[in-house]
Amino acid sequence: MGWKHERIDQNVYSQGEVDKWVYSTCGLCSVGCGCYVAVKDDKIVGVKGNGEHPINRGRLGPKGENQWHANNAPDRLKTPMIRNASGELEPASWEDAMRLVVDKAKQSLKEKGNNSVSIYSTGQGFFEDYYTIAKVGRAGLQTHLLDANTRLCTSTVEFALLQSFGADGTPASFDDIDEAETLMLFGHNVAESGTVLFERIMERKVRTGKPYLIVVDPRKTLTAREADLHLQLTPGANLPLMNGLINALIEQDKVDKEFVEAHTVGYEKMKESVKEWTLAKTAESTGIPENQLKEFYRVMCDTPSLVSTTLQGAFQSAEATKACVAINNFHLIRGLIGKPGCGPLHTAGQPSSSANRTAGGVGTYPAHRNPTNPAHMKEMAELWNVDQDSLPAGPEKGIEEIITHIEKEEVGFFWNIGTNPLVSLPNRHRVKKALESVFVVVQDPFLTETSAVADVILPVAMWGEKEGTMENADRTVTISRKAVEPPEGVRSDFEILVDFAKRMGFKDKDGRPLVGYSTPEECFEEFKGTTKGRPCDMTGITYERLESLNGMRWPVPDEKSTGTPRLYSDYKFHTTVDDAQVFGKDQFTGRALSKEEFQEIGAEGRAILHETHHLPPFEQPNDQYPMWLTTGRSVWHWHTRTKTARAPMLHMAAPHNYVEIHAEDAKALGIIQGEVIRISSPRGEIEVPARIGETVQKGLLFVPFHFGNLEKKESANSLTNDFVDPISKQPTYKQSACKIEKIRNEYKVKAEESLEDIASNYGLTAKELQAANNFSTPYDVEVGASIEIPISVVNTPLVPYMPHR
Amino acid sequence: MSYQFEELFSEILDDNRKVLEDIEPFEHPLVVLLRKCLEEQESMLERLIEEFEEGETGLKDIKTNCSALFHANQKVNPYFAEWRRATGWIGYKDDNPSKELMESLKEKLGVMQDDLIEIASKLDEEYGESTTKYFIPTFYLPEERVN
Ligand code: SF4
Repeated sequence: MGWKHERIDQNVYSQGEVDKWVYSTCGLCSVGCGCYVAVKDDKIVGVKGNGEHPINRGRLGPKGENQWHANNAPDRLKTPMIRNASGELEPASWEDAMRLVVDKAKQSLKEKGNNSVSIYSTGQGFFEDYYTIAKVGRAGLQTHLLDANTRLCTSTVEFALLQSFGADGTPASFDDIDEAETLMLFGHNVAESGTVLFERIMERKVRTGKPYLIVVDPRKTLTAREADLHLQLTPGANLPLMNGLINALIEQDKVDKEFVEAHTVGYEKMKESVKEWTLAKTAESTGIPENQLKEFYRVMCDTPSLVSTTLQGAFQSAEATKACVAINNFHLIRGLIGKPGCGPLHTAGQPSSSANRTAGGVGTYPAHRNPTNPAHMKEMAELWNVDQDSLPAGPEKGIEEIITHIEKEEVGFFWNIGTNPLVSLPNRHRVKKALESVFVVVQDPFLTETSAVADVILPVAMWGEKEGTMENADRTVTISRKAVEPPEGVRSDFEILVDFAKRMGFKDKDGRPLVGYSTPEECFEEFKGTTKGRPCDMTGITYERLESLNGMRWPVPDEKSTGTPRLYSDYKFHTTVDDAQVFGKDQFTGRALSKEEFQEIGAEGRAILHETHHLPPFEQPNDQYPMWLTTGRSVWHWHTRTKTARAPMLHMAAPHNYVEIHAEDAKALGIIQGEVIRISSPRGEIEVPARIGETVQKGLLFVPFHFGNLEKKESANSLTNDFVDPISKQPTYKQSACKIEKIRNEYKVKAEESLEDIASNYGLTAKELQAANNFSTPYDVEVGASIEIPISVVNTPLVPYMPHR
Repeated sequence: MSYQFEELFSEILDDNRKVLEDIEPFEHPLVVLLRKCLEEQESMLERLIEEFEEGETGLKDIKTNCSALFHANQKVNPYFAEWRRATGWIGYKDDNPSKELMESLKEKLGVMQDDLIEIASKLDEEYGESTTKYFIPTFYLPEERVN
């Protein structure tokens, strides 16, 4: 257990004692903290941390503590809605709504074929939802177009693991972080994305001085401020940094040759691909001074144990999969995998995006089965008792490809479950236009921005109102019990999916209902049956054991096992042809490989070292758009704020959007603190207040992605480009080009007017007006001269958050 | 049948070479990827044509190359579409490709894709759905059975 002491964090608003505490797991981020839901008078009134839970020992972060407020929000949807002939959404019965959903799905299947129906789900549901989506989508609808917002979150994790190890499943766990001498947080701003994990890291660091903390991030984030070594690289330089490191390791002759020889293939080609990355070239490409790089190389090449974590700074960047594969390569050639305190730990954003991958609601088939391997498809057909030929085969499609299919009018039905693409997808104007052209079902507890394109809305139960299991970022499977009944008129995702399957009349080969289970637990038991003998074997998991043991990491192959904290301690990887979850992709172009090509690699249970040739980002600053734009999170909000904006404390802490700009850039442009400025890209524009400081480097702007009101100009994704990583198809949100414009009125100075007089008329200080006009003194104003007045200045304080202090 | 395949593959090869020539001057990272996929297509097409020229050809002789060809083409189209968007965003100027060139490339790549769909359909007829679905991507296969 990493924590030395428990600390029960609690957030309860109740008159008197609560009636009961119900066992649960935080439903917000991928850390997966254990908690109890407070119930009084059949209502959720709060939450407290689970002191026994090894992940958090009772601690909760601000988002976790405040998540329950959304359950009681007055604007919860309590009835389905259907868009009427005049284009308005109006309340409807479940019967009418489901009939329409089913009719439209059938119509699309009939008129446009199986691949005209798309389900776009989430990383915030349960295994039971995802497995049902997999079964309904693949064996029922028989469509290829199953994807989820996990594409924006963790598809790079999946593909980096598939490329190197043959199957999904992150090798190291949080326990390894507790033991590592060195921790590299690569594009992982854990202080803001997974606060409790950060607290866990810092608790040990304060106590023991370990681990040596390396943070790779173009911004001086809250995480970077605690680093022993912050590598503030230029945007798009992740792979050059890793290539430089690997080349240095090879040049210093510090490769673990025995390990490489015995447990890997592909070393020579990999070596060749990094040999140009000299210290000087790496420094030039990454913008990191040579002395810092040398220190980085020294620590990384000599450390006896290392965990490397990754998150969106890696996954949503140029060369996402290649950079994560390079991290895998590094661990392999140093032999730092499968041992205590060692291994790559490619994490996740959402609480159960990994579960969607494992259950096959997205990507490959359930329990890591390969859709291009007829033997795996035969197993799947037998498990589901369906005709093998009816199951879609071959590599998956990503959401950006689905958008293209919609634009070509090839999709007739788009089912959006638990996600808000009009705020979260890049280049959102394009997305909106596409989704306006297709029949859209939105399944959500609230009227989100995406409701604007919905034809039907199905209101769903939230955390605490349903039962099910999740998988966090380190393979821990957890259970969340139902604490209260959902509001009247609301159903769970699971119930809706089961009802849909029934109404569609999906049957197995013997004429029995394709979806034969009716409770989440029955569903889990069926799913568990599909995992036997697969990398994610869950044979030994039951709902009861999940609660009594506070979660278990897969594989859990039998009832005696309490889970597997670390993968590959036997150095046997899932790279034999019959085991592999996919046959891999070309490491440069992303082209899917065939069985024969995979066989030719000759891995046969060894890990695969891949070439990592560099290619610059697809969009870069240019004459017209001279600044880099990157997007990301704030500690106070979660994704598109559907839940966190409804928690008063979180909303107050960060009520509106802003843009971070470096002090020197602001000074050069005469922009003052809080001034509302226009940021535009070839896709659109936003107008938000400037937060001036040194968090971003010069030439870079940062806009949080949480805000996306369609009526306001505030959404980061109005600006982002919609290019994707060649292998994982994850959008490259972190690198767009943009420009800044000031929004100002002109004012002619009248006789006897001082700068102070003018400033006070506009609610500004003389100092602000002086800075806005780049005057060296307040006396630079002359009668008749034109000066610029910022049209709006908004105070944009952010409440600081540093729990470990 | 062999003759028809050979003819179709040769047609695609011609278009492929023209497209490679047309994009030769450009160095945008998306063009680098596009070019790499087209080069791979070219090499697969040459091998397939050679195979058919040699006479009787069985599935085992063409399956791997066909798989690589179709899957490379599946990347060609999105890379081209992304490059086209990128070019529109940067503007059609000086050392960027012209709008006319983009239109003509779009047309050639469209024909190439149609030819591949025709080939997929013939392969599907010849070898059956249980086989083709594992080496030809779904969206090239006949619409009435797309799995
Ligand atoms: S760290 Fe994540 S899982 Fe833990 S309380 Fe915070 S949001 Fe919930």
